[in-house]
Amino acid sequence: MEANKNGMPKNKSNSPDEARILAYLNGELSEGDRREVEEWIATDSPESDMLMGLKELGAAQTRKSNKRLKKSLTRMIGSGRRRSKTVGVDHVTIYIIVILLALIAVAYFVILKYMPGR
Amino acid sequence: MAGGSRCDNLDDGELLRQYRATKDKKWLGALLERHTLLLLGVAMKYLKDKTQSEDAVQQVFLKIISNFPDTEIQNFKGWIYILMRNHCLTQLRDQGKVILTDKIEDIGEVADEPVDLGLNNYTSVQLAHALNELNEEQRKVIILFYLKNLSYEKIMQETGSSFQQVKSYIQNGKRNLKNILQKINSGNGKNE
Repeated sequence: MEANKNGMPKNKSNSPDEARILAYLNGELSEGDRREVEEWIATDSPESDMLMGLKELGAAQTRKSNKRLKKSLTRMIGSGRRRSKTVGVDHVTIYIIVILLALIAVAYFVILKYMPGR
Repeated sequence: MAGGSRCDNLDDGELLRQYRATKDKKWLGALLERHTLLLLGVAMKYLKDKTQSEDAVQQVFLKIISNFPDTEIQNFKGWIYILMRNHCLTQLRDQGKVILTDKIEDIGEVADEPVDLGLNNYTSVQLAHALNELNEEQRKVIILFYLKNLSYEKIMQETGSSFQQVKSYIQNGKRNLKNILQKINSGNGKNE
C-alpha cells in the first residue's frame, strides 16, 4: 500500500484513512497532511460529514467508540459464523444428549432398585 | 477481524466480490471494520450524541449483516454512507427533531473531492478582483486558508468563527471564487 510522508498508509482514492484521521484529531499530522485532511472537510462528501462528526466527538472519545464498535462488530460477525458452523455438527450434539438421557435413565432405575424402604 | 492483513491489501470491490462468492461473513466484517470510523462520524454529525451514534452504527451493522442486498453495489463507501445518513435522518424524524422537505430516499449520493483552484494560474490583479467579489467572511477565511495556509484551528482563533462556520465559508467561498475565476478566464478568451 502506498504511504504518505509520515509513513502512514494512504488508500487508493487518497481520501484520509483511519490512521490519518485519528492523527488529525490528535493534532499529530505534519502541516501538509493536516492540510490534505482539511481540504476534505470543505467538500460535499462522506469524508466531510465524517470529519465534522468526529471533530465534535473529539480524539479520545473517537478512539474509544471506534474500538468498542469494532469489538461489537467482531462479536456480530463471530456469532453469525458460529451459527452457520453448528448446522454441520448438529448430529454430534444429538448423540451426546441421547447418551446423557440414557445415563440418567439407568441411574434412575439403579437408585429405584437399591433404595432402602422400597 | 478474521482475514487480518490479507483483507488490508484488498479494495472494497474485491472484498465485496469475495463475500458474494463465499458468503463468508469475515469478508463483510472486514469491509464494515474498514468503514467504522466513517459510520461513527456521520452518525455523530447528524445525531450529536455519543451513545445514540454508537447505537445507530451498531443497528446499521446489524442491518447489513442480517440483510445484505443482492443488488450490485458499485461504490460500497458511498452506499454505506447513504445508509447511515438515512438511518440517522429517519431516527431524527421519528423523534420529531427534523422536518424533511425531501423524501429521505430522494437524497442523492454526493461524491465531491478536494479540487485544486489553480490560483497560480491567475495574476495577482485577477485574484484580488475575484476575492473582492466574495463577501467579507468568505474573503477573509479564503485568504487565511488558501493564501496564508492557516489551519482550521488558527482560522477559528483569528476570526472568532466556529468550526462549522469556517467550513461553510471555505466551502462556499471556494465555489464562488471558482465561478468568478472561470468568468474572468472566459472574459479573457473573448478579448483575445
